[in-house]
Amino acid sequence: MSGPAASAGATTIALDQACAGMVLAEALLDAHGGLLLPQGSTLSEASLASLRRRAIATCSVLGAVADPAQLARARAARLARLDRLFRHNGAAEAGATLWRLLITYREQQP
Amino acid sequence: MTPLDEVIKRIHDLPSLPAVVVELLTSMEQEDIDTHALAGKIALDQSLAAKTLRLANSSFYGMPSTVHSIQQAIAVLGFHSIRTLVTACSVTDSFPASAGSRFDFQGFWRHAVGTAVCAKVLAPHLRQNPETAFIAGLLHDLGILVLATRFPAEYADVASWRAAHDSGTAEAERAVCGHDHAMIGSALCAYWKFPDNIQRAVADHHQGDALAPLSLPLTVHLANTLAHALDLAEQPDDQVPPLSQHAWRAAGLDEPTWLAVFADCEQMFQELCKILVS
Repeated sequence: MSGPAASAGATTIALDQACAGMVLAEALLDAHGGLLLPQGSTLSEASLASLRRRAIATCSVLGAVADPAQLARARAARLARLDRLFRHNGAAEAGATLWRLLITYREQQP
Repeated sequence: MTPLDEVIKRIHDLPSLPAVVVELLTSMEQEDIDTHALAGKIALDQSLAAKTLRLANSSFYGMPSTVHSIQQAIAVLGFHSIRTLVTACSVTDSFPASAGSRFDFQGFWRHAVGTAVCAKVLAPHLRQNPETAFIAGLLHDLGILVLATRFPAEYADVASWRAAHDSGTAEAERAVCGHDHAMIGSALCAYWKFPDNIQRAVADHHQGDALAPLSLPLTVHLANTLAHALDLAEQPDDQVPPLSQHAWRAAGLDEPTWLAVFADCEQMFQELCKILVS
């Protein structure tokens, strides 16, 4: 594991705030001290889902974590843009399905 | 309104594609290809060869070392990829942005490259050749370039009509010019002797309901819609065109697959745009 040292700009955040692409500043261990993910791992949607199943509450990630209010504004802007793009063709069956999938996709982005 | 005959005549005034590109496109439907001879011909067109090598050496292809010749690029990336790159470079070079034009060339190419990338990503799910799908996606709106560069004043009226009615591009073109870019684009593809399936994809990309389930035109119909929906061209007044329920069902992808397709398209697009739309 050649990840950067845990001290280099690490931030401890709730698992709910963690998202795919973040890099672990410290290894994640389960309740018995068993290794779940080593230091330096890049979180993915799959690994986050696995950590949630194991009821991991927090993790330490590299770099500053963006302001939650700012993230919420960016997310709202992405969804508003989708509303605008689908203004004429989002009601019909296939258009509505594609729109819904893109909402899911944009909501998952940090 | 310009008669269709006049539009076709102007198409025939367009420069021909380099002979080697026509040969490359023809080779898409052939089994036995003399790649060595074709590589030699590509290398003779220096500006084409230079741009192709720049693209081949971009991080998009993630090659371990720099390639210096077309022959070497073919050895590393495969003939299919090089054929796609050369065609893409050649077609984008055929319509240089003209000084003083109000037409947004950059926005046009961003959507073209976006559709090409979406078509390439969707192709395996629709049992299409990814490289052919890429080319068809790149060329699908070629008719817009013909109208915008050969009839600039009329096309400015199309843009105004579109803004006033918040309509799709094809609807505005039919209202102002009497014909739309799909029709004009397919006439240009015929003139440039593109393979039949690419011509059909250009002609029919707005006719989703009428297309064969696992076909190149249907792939391009979905790719065009997806490129708009992913906002790849980043045009403020963009809108998602009607998506055919028939085409959507034909793709038959489940939710996780679609989400993966979205991510792949966005990632591939950013990289390619840096090179093709510069």
